[in-house]
Amino acid sequence: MRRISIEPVTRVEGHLKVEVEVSDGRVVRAESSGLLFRGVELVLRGRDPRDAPVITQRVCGVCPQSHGIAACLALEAAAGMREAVPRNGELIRGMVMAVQHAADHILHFYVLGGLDYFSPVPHAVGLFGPTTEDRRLVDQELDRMRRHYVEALETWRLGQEVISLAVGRSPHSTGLLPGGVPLVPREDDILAWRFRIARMRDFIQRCYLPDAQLLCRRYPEYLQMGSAHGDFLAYGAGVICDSAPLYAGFLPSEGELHPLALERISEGVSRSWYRETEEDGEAVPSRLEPMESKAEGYSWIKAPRYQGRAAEVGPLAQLFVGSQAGQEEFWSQVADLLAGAGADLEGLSSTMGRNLARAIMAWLMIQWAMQCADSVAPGEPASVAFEVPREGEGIGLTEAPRGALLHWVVIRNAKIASYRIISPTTWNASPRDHAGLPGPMERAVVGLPVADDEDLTAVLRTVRSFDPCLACAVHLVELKKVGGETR
Amino acid sequence: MPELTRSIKIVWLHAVGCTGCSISTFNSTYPHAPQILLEEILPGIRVEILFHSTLMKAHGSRALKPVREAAAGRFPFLLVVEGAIPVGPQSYLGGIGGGKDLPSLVEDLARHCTATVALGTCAAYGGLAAARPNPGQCRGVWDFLESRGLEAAVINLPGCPPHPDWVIGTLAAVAAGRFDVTRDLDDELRPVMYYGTLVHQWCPRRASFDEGKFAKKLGDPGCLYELGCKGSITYGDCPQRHWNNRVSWCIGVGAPCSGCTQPEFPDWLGGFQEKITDVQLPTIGEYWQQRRERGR
Ligand code: SF4
Ligand code: SF4
Repeated sequence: MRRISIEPVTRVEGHLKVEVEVSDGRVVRAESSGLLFRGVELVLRGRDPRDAPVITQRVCGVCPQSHGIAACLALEAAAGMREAVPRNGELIRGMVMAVQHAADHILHFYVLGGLDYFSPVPHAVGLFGPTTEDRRLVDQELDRMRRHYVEALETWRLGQEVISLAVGRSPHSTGLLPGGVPLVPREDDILAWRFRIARMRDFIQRCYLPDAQLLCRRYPEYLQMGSAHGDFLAYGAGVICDSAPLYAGFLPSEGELHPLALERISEGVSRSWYRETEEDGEAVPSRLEPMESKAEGYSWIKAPRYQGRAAEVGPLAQLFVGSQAGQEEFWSQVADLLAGAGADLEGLSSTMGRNLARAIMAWLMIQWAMQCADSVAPGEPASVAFEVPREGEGIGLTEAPRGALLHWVVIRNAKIASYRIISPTTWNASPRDHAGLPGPMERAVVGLPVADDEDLTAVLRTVRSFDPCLACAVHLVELKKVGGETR
Repeated sequence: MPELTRSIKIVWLHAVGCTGCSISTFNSTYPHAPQILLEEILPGIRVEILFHSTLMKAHGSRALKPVREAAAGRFPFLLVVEGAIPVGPQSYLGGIGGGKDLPSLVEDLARHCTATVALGTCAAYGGLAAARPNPGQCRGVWDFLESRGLEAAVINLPGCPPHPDWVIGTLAAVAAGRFDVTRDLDDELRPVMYYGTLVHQWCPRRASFDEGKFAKKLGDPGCLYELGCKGSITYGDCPQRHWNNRVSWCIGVGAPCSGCTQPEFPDWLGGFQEKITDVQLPTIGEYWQQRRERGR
């Protein structure tokens, strides 16, 4: 038995360490550790509730708008005014979310995870060295990938422009505020969005989808390995737009889709560097404090569980949940895209399946972005005044590019009494829980081949297939259970 | 004979932050990201990023090799720190590997680099990472280095995140040997060329401010002062430059400036949507000076 530590895992957002135990050339056990503590929820306590979208966007510079939107939804729920937000506001948020997902997925494929399969430069030196192990694309295809790398970054920037035009610069958009979006959209705004979205859509169709399918065909065994527990969780778009290709539910490995029930979510810290302190009997049942040394601890990430299951979230979960809950016209497209990659939905829970699901979700999301842009009514306001309630609690559920995202705000005396975020990577990169059940990423790498110390290719490809975002994953929170009754 | 290409080596470290500064930097349009990484940015000058954990191919100890060499002073390099420095108890610190905690690594690197760029408001002043109650006990880079008795040349590029032009423009000037830290920085160590004027100075809504026409709710025309705009006390050239390929910006979509370049961000005296109460014409530009005199 050998123990190999990978630190830092690069090409992921933030500070991640993965440790694997190898026996007979296979991973038999793995631990994933989030290494940096941030504590954004503590920062929020005592502040003006309206500051939550500004502060929480700073959780993650890669997907700030997801946090901004989730915070707005939570605040509006707390104020009992979700329904009062004008349709234009919801549509613009929907468009921003969709564009962000599509752009982010492109970035993962060509700039982060993709480099496990191809290189953006002909001679892999410096930042882009060493040469890719297990290279299977032929020269012509590699050339194409290199051109697409440049185009991918351009497409990402177009997405940032759409967001900037709608909600003011990116990252960290100032125009995501409770009550809606300050912009009063004009015809020319809609044109400025839609023709950029059209270019993004073109790139996804012409480059991203075929390239993702190509990798599946060249690395077919990666469609057979890297499955986690097979339990999937998704929250749906959250914004009120009927055409969103995002659905809510929990799909356990053995069967049928359950409607989402938030009281089934719990978060443990038995292997995380936190201490639980006394309950104070209020709506805020327990506080977690960072703990400097805890023998069993190995991560700053906590262990959220749905009904005790280590659910996987993200594009793969979005596809699986959507395949059960979704509308026919969307899902009929999915079958063809899977077939083009030599994959099918049943067997999609795998390393390459995650990458393929991401490309397919980018395609569905960019179409939704266009629908949102086209549905915006020019000249109509996109926001209403938001009054801070003296008391209130609200939950904002949405999908970030990396999966299910929850914000929960408790307001007392018109200030934030507590704030809780459970972000996608908290699910995917979670450590073991009190029952010893490993998190999805820890589970997914078990059984993968490791030829010798140097060759961790399969492990890293699988870890990166989750597109981990550590900044999002590591928080200090203070509530034990997300109560369905608090909604 | 053509001159040899000079390459400016950069070690780019992520401390306590969100990676937004990297994302923003590589949102640059001219030059775009692959050009920054692969081409000469000025005649005969390249930027050679040796370590950047989000972009680099290698992992683990191999990835850290250039960092170790830089920390040992093997070659001249520019240190870019993104995020604030956590100085709390050991386990708060996280790490990037190689057994070194982040503060000592930053210290070692700062000792040997030609200059340190504190990228973003967290690195410059603590920013969001150090926001009340500062759970990770974070500090800005200059502050941290000073506490370790190091008098390093620090260039602050605040902004949450900073504009790509501010970053690339400054890096290019440094690389070309045209940046003079004794001449080109303001009191807060920001390059005057980008942070020399208040957002308010060139704001398109300034005429409304001067005439007292204020927006009462989001979406209204008029100055956003009463909706909490911090533009009147925030330095940055956003109104002229605009963001994301210069297509739009905060006040351009009707969103109040949150003052993201300021050392006071995000612990403003009030909330982001709270009106600042003590700003008045004609002395707006002297706001901070007056506050300092009164004791901030
Ligand atoms: S207060 Fe803000 S919106 Fe008003 S003029 Fe100044 S910068 Fe512009
Ligand atoms: S306008 Fe204000 S909040 Fe917006 S980027 Fe500039 S300084 Fe930051």
